[in-house]
Amino acid sequence: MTNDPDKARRVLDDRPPWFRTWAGVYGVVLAFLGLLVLVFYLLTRFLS
Amino acid sequence: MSILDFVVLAGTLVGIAAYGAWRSRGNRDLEEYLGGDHSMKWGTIGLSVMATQASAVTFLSTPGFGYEKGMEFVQNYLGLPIALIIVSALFLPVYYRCGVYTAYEYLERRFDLKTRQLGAILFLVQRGLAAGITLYAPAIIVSNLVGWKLDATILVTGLLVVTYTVAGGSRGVSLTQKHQMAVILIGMGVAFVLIVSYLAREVPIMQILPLAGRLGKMEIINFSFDYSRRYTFWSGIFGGLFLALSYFGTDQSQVGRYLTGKSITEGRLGLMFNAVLKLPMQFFILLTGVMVFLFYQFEPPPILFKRPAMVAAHASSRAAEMTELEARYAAVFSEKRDAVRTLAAALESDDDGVASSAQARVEELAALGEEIRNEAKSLVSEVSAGMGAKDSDYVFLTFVVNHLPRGVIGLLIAVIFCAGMSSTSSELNALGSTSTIDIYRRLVRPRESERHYVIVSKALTTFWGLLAIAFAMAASLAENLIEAINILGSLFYGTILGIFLTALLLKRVRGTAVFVAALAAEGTVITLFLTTDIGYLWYNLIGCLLVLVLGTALETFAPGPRSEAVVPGTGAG
Repeated sequence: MTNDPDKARRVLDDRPPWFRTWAGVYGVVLAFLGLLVLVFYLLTRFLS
Repeated sequence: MSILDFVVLAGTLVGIAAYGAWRSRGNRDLEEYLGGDHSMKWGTIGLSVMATQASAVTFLSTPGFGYEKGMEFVQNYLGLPIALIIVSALFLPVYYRCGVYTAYEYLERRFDLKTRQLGAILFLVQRGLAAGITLYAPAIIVSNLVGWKLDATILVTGLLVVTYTVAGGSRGVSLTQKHQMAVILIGMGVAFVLIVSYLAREVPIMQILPLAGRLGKMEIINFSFDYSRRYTFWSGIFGGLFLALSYFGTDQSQVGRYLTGKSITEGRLGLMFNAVLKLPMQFFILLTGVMVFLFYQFEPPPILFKRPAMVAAHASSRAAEMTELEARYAAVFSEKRDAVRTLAAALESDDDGVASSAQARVEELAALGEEIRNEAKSLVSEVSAGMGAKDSDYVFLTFVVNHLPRGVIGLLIAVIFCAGMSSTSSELNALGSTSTIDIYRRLVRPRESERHYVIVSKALTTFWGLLAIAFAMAASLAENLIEAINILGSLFYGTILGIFLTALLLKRVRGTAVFVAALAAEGTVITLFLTTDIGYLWYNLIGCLLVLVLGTALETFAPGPRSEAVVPGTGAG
């Protein structure tokens, strides 16, 4: 935690755009889920 | 078990419990005792949420499932990340803004007292019984394999968990869970690496997964629309979503975890931590089971993994029959091992023709082996009435005890107990807080001091803990009862979720309509359960949708008197 509001703002601005809002964070989590499903599908397709 | 194993096990369990109780000593008011003083950061919340969900059954049954049926169970968790996003966006901010200790307090603010009591009582009944099972499950399996007395194992672990949960309150639970989860992750990681290193003596590392695939264990995703199939992509995404939504959004043992957060942001990040890591974690636990399966293609497994079943058979008048079955099983294993070695070699040299014929031979011998195992299971049921022969829960720990080095055995048994204790502590904390806040403070003694409620909360947590210990000890008499209770518990989740989603999404539906809709939905779900063979994950979706639709219909066509509307904030939260 910081008491310096300017520093806190700078830290926020330094974050990549997809982490600046909660909608962005949820989007990243969903994309990760999609990636996992794709990996699981490919493993099933090529190993079974 | 060696002395080194015992030192590792006892040191881990007692050390973590003592640390948690000491760090969170001296709770003065309810805010500190039940809310953890809202001081937790996202990492602690994330691990605490993860540890609450991961019970001992996760680390016993899941590898057992992987061993028996392969990877398909991972689909059960596909809806979980989506559910956590919904909880983070919809439920969590409302709970924080209302400043509640329990999820059910919110129901009175939104609807009325009877709906709050319905939610709280359904939770208390369901979790009160489940807490006994979470203590019993690791104790029965470890005591059977290591030779400890079951009652003593339940009593020692039960009293340890009750002591630190009562002493440390919500903060103590979160702090201990953080360390218990670290032990679990390290232990499972070590076990996985060791199994793979053992396997690498027989199969080149790059051929391990293709071999598992050829042996039918790598069907991870199945897009079938067959509703009676228990695990498919669709049942995981939809049924699993509603199950996880109900569990994380409305079950106090989880709500109590993320309400200890310093802020909404810390709580949300804790949930997102789980949204990202839970699915890979389950994948690796199942894969550990598959690796154990491969290991036992090269090392002879016991005909039945459940040791007491074997002891009972050999002590009976049909011991010779069992010995003969074991000899036949060993002969089939030996032939199968040769066929698996041929298959592995063919996979490495890319010889598809040899691989296919070896695979067919392995399948034939595996079916023969399974027939002999079934004969052994029937023999056990005949000589020992009441002893089930289902042994998949014993597979992983049998491997651990028989094949892992000293010290690591103690660590892995600590993993099982850490998992059991971390779930039980959350459950006891949630049972204590719900019975204090939603029952005692609301209905029995509404105007007492904070100190009084802390003492009552400690007493009620102790009561639930002792009840769980007593139930776990009695449970050893009736194995089937446990399965029935587990299934019954899952039948309530959809209805409870329907009540909360109505509260959050359908602003015009009021208390009486949702209360009647919930009773009707629960009746329908139980009727469907008794008369159809629908996969149980679907009941979460059905129960929830019924409450939403019936609640809306009742409010539209038979609205209650306007006076029943509750002014926000009248709940004794």
